Amino acid sequence: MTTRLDYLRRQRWFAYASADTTIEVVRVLPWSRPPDAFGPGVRFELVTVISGGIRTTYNVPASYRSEPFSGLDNALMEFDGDFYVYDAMLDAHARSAILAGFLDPNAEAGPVRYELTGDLDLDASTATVPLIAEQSNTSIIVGNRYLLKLFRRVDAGRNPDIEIGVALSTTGAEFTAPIRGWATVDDVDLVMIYDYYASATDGWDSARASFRDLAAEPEVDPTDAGADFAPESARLGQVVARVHQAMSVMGTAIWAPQDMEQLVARFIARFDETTATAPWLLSWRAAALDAYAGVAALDEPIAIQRVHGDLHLGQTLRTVGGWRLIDFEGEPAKSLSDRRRFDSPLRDVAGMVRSLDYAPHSVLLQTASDSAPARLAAIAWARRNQEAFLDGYGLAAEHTSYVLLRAYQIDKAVYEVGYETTHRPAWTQIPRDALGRLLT
Amino acid sequence: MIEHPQPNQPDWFKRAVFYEVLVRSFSDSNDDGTGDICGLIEKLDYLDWLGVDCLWIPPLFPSPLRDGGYDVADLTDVASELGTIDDFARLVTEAHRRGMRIIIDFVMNHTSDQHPWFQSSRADPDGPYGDFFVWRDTDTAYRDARIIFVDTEASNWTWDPVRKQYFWHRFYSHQPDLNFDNPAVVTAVIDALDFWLELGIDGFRLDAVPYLFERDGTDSENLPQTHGLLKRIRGHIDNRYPGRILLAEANQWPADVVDYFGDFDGGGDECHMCFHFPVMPRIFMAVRRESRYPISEIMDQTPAIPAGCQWGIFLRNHDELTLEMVTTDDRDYMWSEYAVDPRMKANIGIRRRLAPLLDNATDQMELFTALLLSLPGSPVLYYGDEIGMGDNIWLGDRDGVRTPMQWTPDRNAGFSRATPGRLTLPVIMDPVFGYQSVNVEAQTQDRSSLLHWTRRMLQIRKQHAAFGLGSFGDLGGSNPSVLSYVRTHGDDVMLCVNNLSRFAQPVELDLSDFEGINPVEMFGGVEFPAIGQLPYLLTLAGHGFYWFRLSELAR
Repeated sequence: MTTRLDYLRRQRWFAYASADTTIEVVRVLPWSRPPDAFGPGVRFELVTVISGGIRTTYNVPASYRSEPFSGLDNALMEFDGDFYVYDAMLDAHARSAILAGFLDPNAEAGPVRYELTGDLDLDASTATVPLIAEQSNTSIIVGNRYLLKLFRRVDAGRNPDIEIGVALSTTGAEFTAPIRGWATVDDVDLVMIYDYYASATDGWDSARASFRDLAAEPEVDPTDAGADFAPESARLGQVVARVHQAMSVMGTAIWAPQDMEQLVARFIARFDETTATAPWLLSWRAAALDAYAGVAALDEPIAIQRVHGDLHLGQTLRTVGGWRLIDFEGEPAKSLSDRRRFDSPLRDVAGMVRSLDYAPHSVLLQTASDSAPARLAAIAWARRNQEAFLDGYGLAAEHTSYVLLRAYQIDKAVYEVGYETTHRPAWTQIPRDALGRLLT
Repeated sequence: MIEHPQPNQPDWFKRAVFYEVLVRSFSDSNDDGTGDICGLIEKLDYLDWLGVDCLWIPPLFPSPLRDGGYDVADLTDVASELGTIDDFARLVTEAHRRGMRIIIDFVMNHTSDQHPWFQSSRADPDGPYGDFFVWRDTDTAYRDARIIFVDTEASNWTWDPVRKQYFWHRFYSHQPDLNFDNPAVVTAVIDALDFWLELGIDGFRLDAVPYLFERDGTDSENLPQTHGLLKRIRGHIDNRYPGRILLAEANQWPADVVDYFGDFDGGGDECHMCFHFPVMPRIFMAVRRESRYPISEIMDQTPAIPAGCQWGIFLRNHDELTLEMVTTDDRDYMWSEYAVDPRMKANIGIRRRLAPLLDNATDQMELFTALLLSLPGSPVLYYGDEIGMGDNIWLGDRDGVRTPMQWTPDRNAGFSRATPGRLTLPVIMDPVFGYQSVNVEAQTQDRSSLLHWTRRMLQIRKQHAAFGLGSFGDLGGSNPSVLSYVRTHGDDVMLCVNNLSRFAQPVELDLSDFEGINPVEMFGGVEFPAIGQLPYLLTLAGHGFYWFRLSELAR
């Protein structure tokens, strides 16, 4: 018989696979819908897990059925003696019960509070479909109009996705997926609901489609390539700039010299941590520290504000009306205070620049193309689109921006090295080659 | 008055497949080297076999032919080299007998300077035609009107040495604009329209409608007076000739073009149809970019049109590949791609036929045609594109895409029995597109030819009201190179999936609205696996496409 922990271990959003992982406590919230003759019982459950001494709380809404429900075999979490307990997000009846809180947010007097920022075109029969291929959260397409995002790893404190969504709802809505509402228990955010663009694709797929065209004829200059992406990259740069501008309503500040030192210290710390998994990095250490020292030596004031924090092509949507940015949660592995920290918008810019390097090289990797023309084409594609993106963003061509952007790119590439070495060793070559180009 | 086919179908134009046929270049019945009306009559069986519903015939009027016949010297006659009014009446009868309709070009905005109205106007300012054109003592009025033919015209005013005044012209200086502020001009033009309607034609393509009136302080395009005149003409036709249509050529952004349909709530009270110009360059762009966004965007930006109206869409016509409706960046890009040879650049656009534009790649021609036949609007085919004819870029002006129709591998491509030197335009003779390899006879015999393929596609289109009448829903999907949409009219639901990339592509589509249905591919009738709860996975060959029927019958 499967156990709740077995089920969690199989989920992509569950980070702990080590043997010493245990469930410490399950906080059971009152029924959103009690079990009865007409349907399953549904409630939010917060599962706190200890692994290697670290506590993490997961949001695992559950559906309680007295009989096994056919078609939900993969969603069965456990049998508790009375009920078959399913992952509620995979159970259509249960999803409706979770959504029902938005239908009449004032009616709920229980600890789970639903809030709406505006109209929500929903009713009890609105169809829901799970969105596939997600990593850290679980999302449901609601009526082909909205996405209900269930935060899987939860913390006390406002989730940045909600916080920023609300802040951008007046000035930045046309460049994001506008937020419609959310649900919270105490100060833990459980779900949010926002606009869904059914006909959109993400920038990662679009960029790779463009490069595949060039890769088929690597002798063609990227400027002349049929599927040239540079105009899209430029428009994407414009949208990132507009979003940053809109996010500045959440406050701006200037980094003091000691803040710059801390930034550099974080860069160096990341580098040194990563050498533990990728010792070959050590040969680049002097060059990287040299680049970081350039940041410490900057004497112009650096403007900081809230940023996206985890911006890459996969967080961009090409809709029929243009580009939009999504997922303002920041790096999910980081603490909430880290994710809410003011930073230079150049961190996001560097994320996009790195992603525009990843896109063509991922195609080469997957097609096992390592001919010199193919490699040159990937570099040429990346350079053309990075330049177009920066141009669209309106980045000033001056020393401070250059030094800071380069340092952020190096730091991002180092992060990529760590991630790939652990999760996808064959991909390590992409950030390794990028570091080579950045540091020579 | 000649009896009409299917008079009980006022919406016929919404489902019709149009075919633009240049009479001069189609078939020569009297061996003088010029195609003529009787030659076209002889080919009506071919057009009927192909599946054409309505012929669009560019100007047949007597003309000095300095602008492809759009410089009209008599609005109520046909050019003698093309035949007689009796021949034309027989053409209408013969077409109607086959269930085919005919619309003709009608040039309202201007005439040739050889038209008797203009000759009289310049010679006798106080005579009955003195005020038929826009005359001024100076060339200073209407300064905000742009010059359309920038390559040949320096001003919209030209000095007439006879009348010793300037006359107004939005196009060439040999095409003076009619003065619609003069009620006598309006009456004369409506009389000319009636002349053709009495002969039984099914409608007009109105050339250059945005420019009928001019006013200081405006760009003299799309003026309210112009719309007022169109409403008056529409009312006149609805009263006396119901079922006949007006198709406007208004080369403007769709949001402005919709005004030419007229009142939205009343179902439209100006033109029944307008050309949707941006669709065509966007299709070219999307395939070149291997991205659906150029098409998805323009579909998204296309406003709703009145219930009684329809768009007209095309891939190619007798004019250039129109790039006015793309942005400057896009236009530069289209030029660099399609017009490597400076000879192909003239005015704004490119004069090439579909096949040479697509490097004669059959899979691309088929994809383009499939898009044309399945996007919202009534498709307009251009003569010869159904067999993949080529062009002759060495001919001047727009003649490169007006060469004789290639019927057979025999002399003059079977177009004419005249001495080859007498042909008005030479037949295409290059090794790839020459008439010996590309012609109707050979493709009729070859069941796998482009001609047979096109015919089959027209047949499928006819069977499904969704293509002509249905709503359009862009499905998006996981793959940016695949354009997928659903056309729905009642219970007729067609799913169209188009791979704009030259590479094989997968796509996952959210078809949850159709759960349980087995899509049936229409070209072969093959039933595909049932649509389930998960996204529906399809794989497509490079430039491949599917038309599926989603029917409750296949559940």
